[in-house]
Amino acid sequence: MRRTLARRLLATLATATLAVGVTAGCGDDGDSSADAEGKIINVLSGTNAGFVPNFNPFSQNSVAGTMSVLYESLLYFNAARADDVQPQLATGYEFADDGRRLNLTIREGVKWTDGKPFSAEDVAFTFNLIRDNPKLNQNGLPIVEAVATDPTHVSVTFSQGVYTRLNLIAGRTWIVPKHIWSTIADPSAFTNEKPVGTGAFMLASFSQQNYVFERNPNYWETGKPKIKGMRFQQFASADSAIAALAAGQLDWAGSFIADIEKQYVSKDPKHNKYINESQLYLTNLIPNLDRAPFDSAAVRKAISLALDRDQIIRLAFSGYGKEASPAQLPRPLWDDYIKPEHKDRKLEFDPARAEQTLQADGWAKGADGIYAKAGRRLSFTVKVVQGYNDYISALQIMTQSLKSVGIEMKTQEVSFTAFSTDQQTGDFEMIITNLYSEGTAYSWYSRAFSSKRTAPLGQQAGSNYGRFRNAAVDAALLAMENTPPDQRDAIREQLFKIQDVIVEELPYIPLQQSASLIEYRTENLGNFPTEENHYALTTPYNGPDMGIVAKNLTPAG
Amino acid sequence: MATIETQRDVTGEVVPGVVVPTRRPRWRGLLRSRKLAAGLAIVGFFALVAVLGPLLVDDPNQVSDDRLLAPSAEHLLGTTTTGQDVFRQLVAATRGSMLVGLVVGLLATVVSVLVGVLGGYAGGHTDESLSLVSNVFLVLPGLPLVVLITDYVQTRGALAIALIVSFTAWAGSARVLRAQTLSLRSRDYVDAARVSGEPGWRIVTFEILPNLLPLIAAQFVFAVIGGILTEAALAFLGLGGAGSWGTMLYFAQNSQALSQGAWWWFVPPGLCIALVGAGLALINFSLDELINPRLRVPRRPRRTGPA
Repeated sequence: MRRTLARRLLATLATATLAVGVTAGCGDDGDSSADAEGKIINVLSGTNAGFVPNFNPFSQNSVAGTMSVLYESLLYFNAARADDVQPQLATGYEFADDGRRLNLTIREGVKWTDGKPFSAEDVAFTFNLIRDNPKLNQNGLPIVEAVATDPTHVSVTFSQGVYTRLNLIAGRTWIVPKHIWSTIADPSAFTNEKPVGTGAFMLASFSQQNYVFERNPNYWETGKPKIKGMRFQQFASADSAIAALAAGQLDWAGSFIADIEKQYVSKDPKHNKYINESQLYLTNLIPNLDRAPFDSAAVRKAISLALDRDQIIRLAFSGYGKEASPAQLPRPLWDDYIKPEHKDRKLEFDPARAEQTLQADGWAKGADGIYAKAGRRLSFTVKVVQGYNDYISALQIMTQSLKSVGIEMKTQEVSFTAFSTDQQTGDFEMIITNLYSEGTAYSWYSRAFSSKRTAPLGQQAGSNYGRFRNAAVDAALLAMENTPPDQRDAIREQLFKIQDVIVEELPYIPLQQSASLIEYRTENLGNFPTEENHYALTTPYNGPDMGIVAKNLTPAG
Repeated sequence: MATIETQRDVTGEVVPGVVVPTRRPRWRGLLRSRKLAAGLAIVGFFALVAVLGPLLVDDPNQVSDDRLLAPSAEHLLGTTTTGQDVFRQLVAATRGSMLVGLVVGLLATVVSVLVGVLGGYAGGHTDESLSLVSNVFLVLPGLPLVVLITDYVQTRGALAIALIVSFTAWAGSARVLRAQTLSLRSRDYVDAARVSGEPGWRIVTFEILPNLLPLIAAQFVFAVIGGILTEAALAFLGLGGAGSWGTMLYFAQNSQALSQGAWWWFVPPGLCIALVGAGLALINFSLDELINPRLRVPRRPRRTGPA
């Protein structure tokens, strides 16, 4: 298994997004021909230790497809296009009471897959279930109470304003049937082996080697889904998964392939397609701003200027990573929310200016060729998780570039456990890690730069590990928390203020937008998302997007 | 030529169960073993590379845009996906692997001698408790345990890895040494020494240990092989830290060297592991023959020619 996938898996455990690694070899039992009824498509998914039946949509360990293919959310927030929100089980929403109350209009005519009718009661039940079982409340929603006022209306109250969390409340809360879940004693331990949802597909069979979803004939969205079903497979190693892809045995996969043109596309150029979903993660060097010398912006800028990001991406990240914006928002997804003057700014590579920047800050080159100031050499150690070989390669490249401008970088490989602890408590000089969001431009900045999400050295920081604190950024974040999500210009204005600060201060040193390769075959299937028609993120992982893609796929031809 | 002496030696002056207090003639047989010569040559070569190699090649981490090139005059063993020279990496990795093997060999041997010989000689409660400990270590699933410990150790260098691997590597040897000590300590000459008032430490050091020496040497070699292999396994799982052959295999695997056809990246480290393993095994075989005369194949005296 490629460590990037493993890393994403670990990184995203904190949120509801659950990416899935590549996996284990299983036989193929044919069914690759399209027929009038559509086709059961083959999807690469699962774990390399055999599938374990778990269809609990509140569990981190549920198998791929549980979230969004079997169980649905109220709204769908397209992770590939900003401001693209589609109604699902809810047809409308409005905020009241300064964002402490959310009134939802629930869709009529929806049935659970066991034939029972779905209603606002189920929605209210789900929110109250989450409130009563903190283990299910992975997004930490401050729910006070949910009440079904009539069969198509639900009112959910919160203990604080939730304007910035609409995508978690309505987009990542999976609605479960009251008539089943109200009888479950411990919903967090429930493995739900006979799942009953509202989704476009339902479970047909399950084994350790593969499991099959078949079309839900009573699905509420007329005419969908068009394909007959999905078979989730696993492979023993990345190599065997790639072999299966190259042999045309898989229709949809999210597998890292080192040289995708040669190893995959060239085997069948007409049908073997892929898309690089590089808007999910930003790879950053995160300096500890509470420690010298990184309290100096000049040092951070000098390091940034000395890095040849093209070379880093080309050599260490197989050429798939994309240029990162100094505004620290993935592009082009958030282009509308980046201040025009920052949008086309690049992180320059200029070793000469790196040295000038240091000299202007009072550093002087010592006899060993390394800059020093007040007796302190410009030398620091980057912590990286053991075995993350692309990061380790990237650090080797950076070490060389930095050395040539008089900065000494060392690498310390630590275990994942140690890394997690150290980044939280601030026991590092610098780390290399991915930043990600909870689906909004606000949360990119809130996670990384909010002083509420950091802590003094030695104490656990929530997600602002670099310990950045800035009054203007905090004020802008607070203003956004008090702005309804439809007031986009007001939100934009606050985001621009944050960008002015971070572009100037460069608190972290962005390296790239990380790649997520998604392979799909068009021999039997049509209507996968493309760069032009990005109606959902193409990732076949356990999250909001997979179900949207699955129900929109069509038999080809 | 020592033919006659050796012959006599080989054909069974040494009978199992009979102690030969004078050890010199046994070692002489060893010197003529072809297995030993081959083993020593292989291991000696790698040891030499480990000591001197890194001083002679350039920085193994030097990246370049010469990505994934096949072996050529410029890059003797080709390059990796980051344009690093595989030959330089191989030389640097030799040091990591050999160092871990050596340290594991030394540590495991010291611990097993302490536990096995002391327990075996002292008997009673000391023996009971020491063999309980080694029995527990013996049934512990070695590799999974090492994987667990390794994941908890914050910073892993070659020495840390060696320590962890040694932790589970000594128990088997301790049992073997204890058994042999038990048999030795009831021999007449040991009893004689005891009756004549020699202190325990002296009996262990001068009467028992010398007779265990070939056995200890064999256990040492065995531990070195185990150390090198376990480290390679750990590194291949991404739990390395020594910069070893296993680390090279891990990077090759993660960069999909196999499906990209970059054999020059994973074949050399694999071959090195196999070669050193074979070399050490050859040494071990010849030591085994020395310890257990029944394994010895009498060599025809050269003078007599083919029969």
